[in-house]
Amino acid sequence: METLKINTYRRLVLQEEEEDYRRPFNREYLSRLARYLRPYRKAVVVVCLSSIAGILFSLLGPYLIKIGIDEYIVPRQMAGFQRVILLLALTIAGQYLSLLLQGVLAAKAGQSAIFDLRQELFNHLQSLSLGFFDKQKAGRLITRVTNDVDSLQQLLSSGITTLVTDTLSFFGVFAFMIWMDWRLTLVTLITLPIIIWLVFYVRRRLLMGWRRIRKKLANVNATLNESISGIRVTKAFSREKENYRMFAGINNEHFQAAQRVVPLSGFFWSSVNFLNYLGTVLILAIGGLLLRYDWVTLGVLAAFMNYVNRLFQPIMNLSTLFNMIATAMASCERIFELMDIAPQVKEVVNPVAIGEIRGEVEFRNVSFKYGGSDEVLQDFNLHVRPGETVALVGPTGAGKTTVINVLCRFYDITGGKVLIDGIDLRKIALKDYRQQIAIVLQDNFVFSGSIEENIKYGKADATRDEVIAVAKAVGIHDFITSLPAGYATQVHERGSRLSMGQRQLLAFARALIRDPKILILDEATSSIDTQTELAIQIALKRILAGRTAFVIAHRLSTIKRADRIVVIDGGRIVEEGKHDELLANKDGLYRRLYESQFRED
Amino acid sequence: MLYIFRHLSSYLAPYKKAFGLAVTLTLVQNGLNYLFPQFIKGIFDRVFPGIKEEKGLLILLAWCAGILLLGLLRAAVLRFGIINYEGTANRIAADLRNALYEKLHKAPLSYYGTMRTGDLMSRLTLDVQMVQMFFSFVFSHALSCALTIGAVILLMFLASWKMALIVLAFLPVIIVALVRFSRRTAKGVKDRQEQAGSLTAVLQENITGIRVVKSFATEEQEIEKFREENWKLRGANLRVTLLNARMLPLLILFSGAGTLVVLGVGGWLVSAGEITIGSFMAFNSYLGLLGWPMWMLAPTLSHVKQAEGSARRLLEIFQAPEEARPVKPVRRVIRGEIRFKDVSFEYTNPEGTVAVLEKINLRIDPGEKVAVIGLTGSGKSTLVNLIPRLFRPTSGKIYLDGIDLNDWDLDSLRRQIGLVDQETFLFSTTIGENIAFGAVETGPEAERARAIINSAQKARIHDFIVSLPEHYNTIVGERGVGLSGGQKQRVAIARALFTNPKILILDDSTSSVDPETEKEIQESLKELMAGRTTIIVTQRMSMARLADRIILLSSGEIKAEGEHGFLYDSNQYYRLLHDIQLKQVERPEEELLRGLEGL
Repeated sequence: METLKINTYRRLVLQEEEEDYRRPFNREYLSRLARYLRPYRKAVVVVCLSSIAGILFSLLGPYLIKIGIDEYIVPRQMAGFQRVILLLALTIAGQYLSLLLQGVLAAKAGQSAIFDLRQELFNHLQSLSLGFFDKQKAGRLITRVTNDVDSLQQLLSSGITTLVTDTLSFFGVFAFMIWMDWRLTLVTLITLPIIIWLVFYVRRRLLMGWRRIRKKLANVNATLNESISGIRVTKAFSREKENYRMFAGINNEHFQAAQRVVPLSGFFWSSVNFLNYLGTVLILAIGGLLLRYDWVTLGVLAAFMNYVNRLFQPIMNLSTLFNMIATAMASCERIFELMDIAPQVKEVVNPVAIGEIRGEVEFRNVSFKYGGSDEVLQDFNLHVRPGETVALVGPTGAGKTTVINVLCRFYDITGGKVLIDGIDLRKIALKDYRQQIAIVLQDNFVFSGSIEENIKYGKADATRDEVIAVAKAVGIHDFITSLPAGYATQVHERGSRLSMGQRQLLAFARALIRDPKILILDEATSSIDTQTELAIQIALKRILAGRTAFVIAHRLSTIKRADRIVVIDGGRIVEEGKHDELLANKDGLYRRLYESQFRED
Repeated sequence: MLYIFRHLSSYLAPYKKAFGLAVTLTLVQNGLNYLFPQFIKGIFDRVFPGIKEEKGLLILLAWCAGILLLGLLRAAVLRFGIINYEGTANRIAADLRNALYEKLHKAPLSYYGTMRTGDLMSRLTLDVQMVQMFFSFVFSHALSCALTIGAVILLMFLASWKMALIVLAFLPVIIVALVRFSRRTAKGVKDRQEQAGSLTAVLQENITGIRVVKSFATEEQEIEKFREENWKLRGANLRVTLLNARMLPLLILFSGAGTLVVLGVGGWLVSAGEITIGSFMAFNSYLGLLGWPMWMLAPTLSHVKQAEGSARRLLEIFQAPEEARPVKPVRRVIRGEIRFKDVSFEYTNPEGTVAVLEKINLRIDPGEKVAVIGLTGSGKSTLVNLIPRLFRPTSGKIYLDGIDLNDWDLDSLRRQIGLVDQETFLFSTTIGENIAFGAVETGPEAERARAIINSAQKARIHDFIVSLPEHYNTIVGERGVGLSGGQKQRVAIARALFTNPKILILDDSTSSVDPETEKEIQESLKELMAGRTTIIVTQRMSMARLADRIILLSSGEIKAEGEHGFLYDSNQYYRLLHDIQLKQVERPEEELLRGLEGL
């Protein structure tokens, strides 16, 4: 025992680092992503056309100004000058309109595609079976639907515009420059490799630095979150100073990562700036040389000064786009991987119409295992008559919850059959079946919304009277009406305002309102006070009457009232019978369980 | 903007040299901006006309060298500016985070009852980031915008006051439009954040409540609910994107209008001989200088506005109350005698004041074991929370070993009290570290490890821990292996024992375990309580029976107290409660409930 090596080095486990190193371009993902723009392809075409128009207008403007200055103002020839002004005004108006059209349509198409993608992802999640959710951390799934989808937003809305506009304007300007003077164009090409190195290589390193910062920041945030959630423990154990030290360390790591990027950031922006100067100087110097031998005119030189900068902007924008795509690849992969997961519990193609079921349940030689685990249920046989209440009893890990998971068809069994009214459960449409069953879980999850909405969750079209009737039946009506807002009182996920017992009663009401033929209860082990417990027992009596019920029972009163007690251990039924019969078996598991809980003085 | 400087000045102060240098560099850089056009003008006006002369190329090279030097100088200024701004911003952000973190630990527990975790988190993350951005580039952009606009106006007037007046007539319109855009963007961004939050809330509920969704077959209903939020988020996103999409063309329109005016009016003025062609050309180039500030103005202003809001929210945290600490704190070994004298506790919520405890008088002897039982909401938990001063009484006094509890050193007090809560919070670290959570002094490693194992054995969790793949080094908590309620509870007991507390408080600590586990825990508790003052808060009679004395609490008042036998004989309520839980009472629940309620 002494040899156990305990790591006493203080550390805090930080967020699982999401692998988000850039992926190579994956054409399949890109085309799959592009498919979301297909419903808006008309808009996309208009966006492309108006981008082209915008470029033409933007090239036309300076040309008109040049004509205005050279042919009218300088020679002081004002006749016809109004026409130039008018044309310029039209050009500006044209540029304004085409940009507006392009921007508005691209935004709408992009946001609509994002909406569709997010909705499809969520719909897909809803179709997945419970087995999937049991293995996943909620936080990760939430990130897929929120952050990962968000990170595609820019790509889908402005990506296409950037691609079209900037590629066109780069080549347009380039062609224009060659047309004017190919020698000076060659001069501008000298700086081009450096620019490309800067915007594609240095900038990428900068982005990677930022990504490191973000990861460190995620650690800072995770630590903060945990510190706030655990503040009570920290205070009770007087661990504040230790926490300060730990946080300062993690915070410092983030700070160091941020500081590491600073010189690079300074280098990048100052270099970009300097390259502008360098490009201009090269044109001036070589241009001067050419000018000396009359190979260029002054006007061409002046125009080139302008165009050098115009060549630079598209490259910058395109590098942004490529980085955007590279980042988006990681999100795409995560999103599409999730979308490609098929539900484990599959709907049968031609389901048997069941109508209203009677509630007869039979487990016939059922075996089951989760993924790669050992068999949780083995050769499980149980026949339950309509209206019968069966209590499932057994030690932790015996397989009680699995019986319920299988009965609700949250999971498909690996062997044998589950029959409902004699029909194989797998041949029934999931919805038809689940609408006739109800399950009340231990944790009594409450949705945000009003109390009424929570009760109606089980039956969306229930009337107010039905809601009140079930609330009365489970004995929570008086409590609800004692609240200032009554049935309209807002409750939350954590169920503030409601005690554990009240939440359980609410869950009963939610189940009862659908008048289920099969009712499944997973009794809470939590210690609610005796008065509430009695109230729940009273409610239970009414709820169980007249329907088939399975109860994972912890409370003696529930167990005793059951028509049959099924004692499960190691995935098998070990004992079965009424309370008194089982108690009579001195070596039985039931008797042992019973005695540990109820002792007489 | 002033608001930020005024209220965060103490965070800027240590770095004022670097920040001052950065600001100076911005000024220099703005000055240098006006030199470049002068060089170009010089080359075109003076060098190129003489380029064919003998020294023409040499002169050109000299001028070019001048431009390169200027370029290098500007690049250097820019570079050091960025380094100083970003360095300062990073340091301020790190300092702010540390200060906020410590401040949060000093705030009393009641503060957390009024603040939602999500809200605190967004302040500590987003708001700090916003302030960091302010110091990193937003301020310098704002400064450059103001400087450029000012300088251009001045230069325009110097070139031709008539044209300057005409052009400036447009400026207010442009600025008003940009400011409006910036406001709407700031609001749009805020709305979008809120909508994203509400979508996440729906999503989170759906995923955490997926069992309910599946079992009720309400997937379609859930999809509808999500679609509604998703559609709203699309709208909020669209509003922000559309603002951007509309601003860009508007800027083009503005600059186009400027060009038109300069060209039209200027052309006319030139032909009328009012201004020279040189002034006209100069004017045209000044207009070009306005391009950058026009681009930057709206986003910069909206950033400034957001940063101000962020600074305000951070200050709110700094203004939160702090736990009171005595002037002359008492530090000594606790014997464990606790006395409550007329202790009342109440809290105020929007619906009014709620009295939780009323004039409690109680005396617990050193080493005594006391159980507190009562209904939900009777004040049991509050009562025990007063002892480690997690809450403070509204009136009355508590004495520990005869000394006013408020005079005890907070750390000394809390380190000698072991607390096991109803819901166990484990940190995302190793199970061993979680057990050793309360021990600040790190002794020799081997000794520490032995102590950890020892506590785990006493809490009957050791066998389970060694069955885990990485034993005591297994990561637990939110980002680690999930433990069952009973396992967590036992880790919490081990954690409380590790500090060898003089007072042990078990606050409903067996509520989330099944009966068998409870029995096991009870067995181990018997041993653990030996020699310590122990207070057990519970709903369960079986737990209460572990105590020497039982206190029956109801609506914040002590209704009865005494040994089990005494209470059983003298208190009907207690007897009924006891019998319902521990004996088989063959009476209908309705009758039992009426019986309890009647007593």
